Amino acid sequence: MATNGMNYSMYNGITYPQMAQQQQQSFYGQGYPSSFSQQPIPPYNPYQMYAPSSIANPSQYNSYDHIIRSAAETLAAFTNPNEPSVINTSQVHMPASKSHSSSTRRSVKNFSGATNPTRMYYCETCRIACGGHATYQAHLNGSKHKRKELVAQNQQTSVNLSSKTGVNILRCELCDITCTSSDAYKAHLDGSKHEKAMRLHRKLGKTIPSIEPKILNPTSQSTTISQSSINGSQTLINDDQQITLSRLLENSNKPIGEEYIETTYDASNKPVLYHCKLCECTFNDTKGKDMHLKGKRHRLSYKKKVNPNFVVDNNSSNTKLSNSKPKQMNNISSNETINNIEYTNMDNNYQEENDDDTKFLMMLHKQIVPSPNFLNIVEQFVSAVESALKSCSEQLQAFTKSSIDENPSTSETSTNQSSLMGVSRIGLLGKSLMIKTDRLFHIVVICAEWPTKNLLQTIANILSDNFDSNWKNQIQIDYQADKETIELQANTEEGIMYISILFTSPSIQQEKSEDKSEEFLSKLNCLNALYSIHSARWFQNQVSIRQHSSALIRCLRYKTSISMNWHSLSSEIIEILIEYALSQNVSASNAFRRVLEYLSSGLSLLNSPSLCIPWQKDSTKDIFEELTNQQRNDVTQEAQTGLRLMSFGQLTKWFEQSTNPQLMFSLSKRPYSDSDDNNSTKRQCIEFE
Amino acid sequence: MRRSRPRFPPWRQNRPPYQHSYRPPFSQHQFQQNQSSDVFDFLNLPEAFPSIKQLFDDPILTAIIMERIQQITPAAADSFALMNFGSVIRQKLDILVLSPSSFTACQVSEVRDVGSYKHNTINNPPIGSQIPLTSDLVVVLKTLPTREAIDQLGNRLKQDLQNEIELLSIRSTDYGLSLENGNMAVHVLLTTLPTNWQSLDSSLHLDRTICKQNFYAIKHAKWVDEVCIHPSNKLLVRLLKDLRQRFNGLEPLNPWLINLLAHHCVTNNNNSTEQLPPSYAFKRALQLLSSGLFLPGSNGLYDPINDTYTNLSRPKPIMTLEEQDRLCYTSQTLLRALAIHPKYVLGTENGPDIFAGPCELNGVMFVANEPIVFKDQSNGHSIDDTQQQAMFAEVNS
Repeated sequence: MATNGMNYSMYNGITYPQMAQQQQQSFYGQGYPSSFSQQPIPPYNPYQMYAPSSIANPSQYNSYDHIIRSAAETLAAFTNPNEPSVINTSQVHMPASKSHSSSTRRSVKNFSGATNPTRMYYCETCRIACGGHATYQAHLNGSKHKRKELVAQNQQTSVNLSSKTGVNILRCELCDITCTSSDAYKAHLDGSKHEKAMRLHRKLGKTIPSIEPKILNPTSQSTTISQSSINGSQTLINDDQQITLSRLLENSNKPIGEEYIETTYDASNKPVLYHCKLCECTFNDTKGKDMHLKGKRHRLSYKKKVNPNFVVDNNSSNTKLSNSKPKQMNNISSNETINNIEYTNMDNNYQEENDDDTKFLMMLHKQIVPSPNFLNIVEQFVSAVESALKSCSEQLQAFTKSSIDENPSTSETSTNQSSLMGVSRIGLLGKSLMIKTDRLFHIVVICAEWPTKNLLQTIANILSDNFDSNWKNQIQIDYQADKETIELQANTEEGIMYISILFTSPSIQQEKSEDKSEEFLSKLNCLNALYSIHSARWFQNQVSIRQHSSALIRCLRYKTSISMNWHSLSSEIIEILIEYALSQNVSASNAFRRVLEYLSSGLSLLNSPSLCIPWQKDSTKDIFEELTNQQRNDVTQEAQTGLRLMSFGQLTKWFEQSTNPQLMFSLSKRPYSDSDDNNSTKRQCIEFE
Repeated sequence: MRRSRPRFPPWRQNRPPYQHSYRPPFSQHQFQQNQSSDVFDFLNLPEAFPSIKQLFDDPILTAIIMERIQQITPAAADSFALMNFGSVIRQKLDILVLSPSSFTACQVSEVRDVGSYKHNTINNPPIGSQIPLTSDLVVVLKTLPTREAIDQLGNRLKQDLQNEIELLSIRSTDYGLSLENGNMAVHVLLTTLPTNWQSLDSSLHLDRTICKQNFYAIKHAKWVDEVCIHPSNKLLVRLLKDLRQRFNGLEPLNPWLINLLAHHCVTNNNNSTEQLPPSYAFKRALQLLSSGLFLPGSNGLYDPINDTYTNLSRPKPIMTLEEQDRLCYTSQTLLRALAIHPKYVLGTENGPDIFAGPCELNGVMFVANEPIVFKDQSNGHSIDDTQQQAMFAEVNS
């Protein structure tokens, strides 16, 4: 098992059942609509992952708090807070202020330099500059300063318990002002007080704390006490908390319903008047219009008149903040609300996605997806074949063992290994992409060594004996020597089904020689079989996990089955294109359109940069390699027609039109609808007669 | 107090406010699609689309393109003669600007060169046709462009030019004046200052739409002059114009759109500043058109003058649905033909008319794409505008 490095189900081992595939099959029966109804569920999953991390956060924050506090202490020790420090370019002299060592947090800076000898006294606690020493003294003795000092001390020592939980407080580091909402904070930033403080700090050459707001809430409050000096370390902890100013100021809400604004232009084509049709109000400038579009009134009327599922938050400016992690930590109830918001948002998307094209594709998919009964029969058939192959393998093993007993010269190692190592479902079976019209399925038998024609012949001979009695009568076995496959044909309730068994071996990839000899299977066939195994695996890992992928591929496969022009388009090509389209995170109908765009822009044409095969990273094989020039042309033409039909909202015709396969030369100049009408009227006439 | 402005600009005054004109079902569909996106462009998705060949330069196609460019570029003598012709007329018009008192019928505000001659993207007229080589001038009047004034201006020009050059005919047209001199012509596109637009009355004056178009031609010319300077860009404009001349289906692509498209194809190279060679840009232009650049559901190209995407431009769309379809299916057919028989598409070799019916093209059974939207189906909500636009387009090309 381990020697080949592949995880195919092994004949020798006990782990035969194909659990994964069976699961897929059962999923598969539910079809397209169920995959749509599943849509609102996914948000829970990421959310689940998200929640534990936010729960894990408090401890992190606490530990950070600890670090910060100790950092603050060491810093305080270095700066010697009991003495106001005087920094002067010429000399240091400040005898008088030493007597005021009682004040804990203050420092006086002189930033006059040589040109301006007058000193500036600055009180760190109150952030006030005093013109002279006397005023500074007066200030220090004043009640205002005392009060502030007290508050500062309180803040340092104990977490302020009085503040309400769940309320975000924005704090301006510079002015030591706390605001309860982003609006207030914004107003403060614009205000004269803040500007004054800015100017003062700039003049003093002090570091100006960034205007990014500190977000305070009960748990993290202790982190942001009042150290403007240790900004560097603070940014470290506030990674999650810090909300960039720009984001805050843009008022978090996206403008909505812009299409309901009617713009009036003046003679020189400048917009002069905006009218919001939803709210029946007018604006003269874009700014006002934008504000309105973000505003609550507009959002409410948007909800009322346009999209009843639209979520209007009570305090729109604070939603961003309340979404931020720290809040969730203490507030479990907020988790639920966010959950709801995400859920409803998802709902919105879900509804938006239900445009006509998507609806049509869903309906089409419902029609082409095989019935559970059909799937059941296929499953029974395939597993019957598989178990028959398994017993074949046992029989062969027994046979080889007995032959080994006769010829002891053969090596010991081969005794434990059967010539058949496993079986793998490929193509439609492996990818579960069947549609109703499919009757031919493929499985691959993986052999330990390069399979010989002799082996195929033997298996074909003994296979029928290994079927259980129910199937024995229904199945015809046919060894196709030229194709090097074994074809099985079974009569079932759903008509005749075919299974084609291919043979390959992983050892072939390592072989250098082209074709060994007559008695072995041709290398090309074996490689193709391996290639489809890789393809199936790639599909299971990359494509099937994407939403809608299977449904869209089935729709396109249906098209290949009904349209002559698309007959040459293999399922693999469709899978690759859908994968690329869906990897751009688009909705189902957009992905469908994208695929049509790819082909319309001549992706398959001869002179275009073609696509390589994703499951063969090293190879330079082109996915369109096998198409002839004529086929490339036809494929492109069909896709181009499809794209235009889809753009003009007539996608239905694309799937209808080819139900009665149109010959290439019966080129009707009239629109399809016309000819359809004619047909129906003709039919009516016949009925009347 | 501020002067109260009219609630609606004059061209909207007859319309009831906030009431949508009837839109055909799929046109509505088009406008509802707010998530309309850019069409697939191979260049913009290099990492998402691991391709095998990077066909930036296609030597075969380049050779054919160069051959075709040789054929369609007018001879130096012809373009010199055209330049002379145009500059004489320009001189006369400039005199009117400088001495307004000498001419009373109308007052000229400015005269500007526009169009393909100015941008050096003029093509030879197709062999055997009567269309002369044309250069275009926009004349902005201070007064209103009444029919009489236009006639007077024509007469005045005729008088002035009498002695200097041989002038065969001068006639007034929908867009202004056309002065012909045997195998070349100068089109004088008349318009008036934007402040006068509201007082235009189509029974007395030039049509307002045409005035606006002519006025915008100045802006367009400025933009093209400034931005579309790369030789590859000019080459592509020539090729697309030539293609449009030979295949009727590309008619909805007016010169302004050709310029936009050419600029987009040559310069918008996935955020790199490198300009693409003409062979690739030409193919890209057809690819973009084929993947539905101007179809509903796509944004179209960014129009720097209107500051919006072409497909989203309102109140009137640039093309009717029928034209969108026609443009798309023609370019789709051409794209497929280009892969099979490039010489035919570029016009260096004759071949069967691929739009006439099924035919064999280099061993491939070739069927042209069929229209989906028909003229009677598409509601004529903008047909007047676009017809006029098309007329203007012919003038401007």
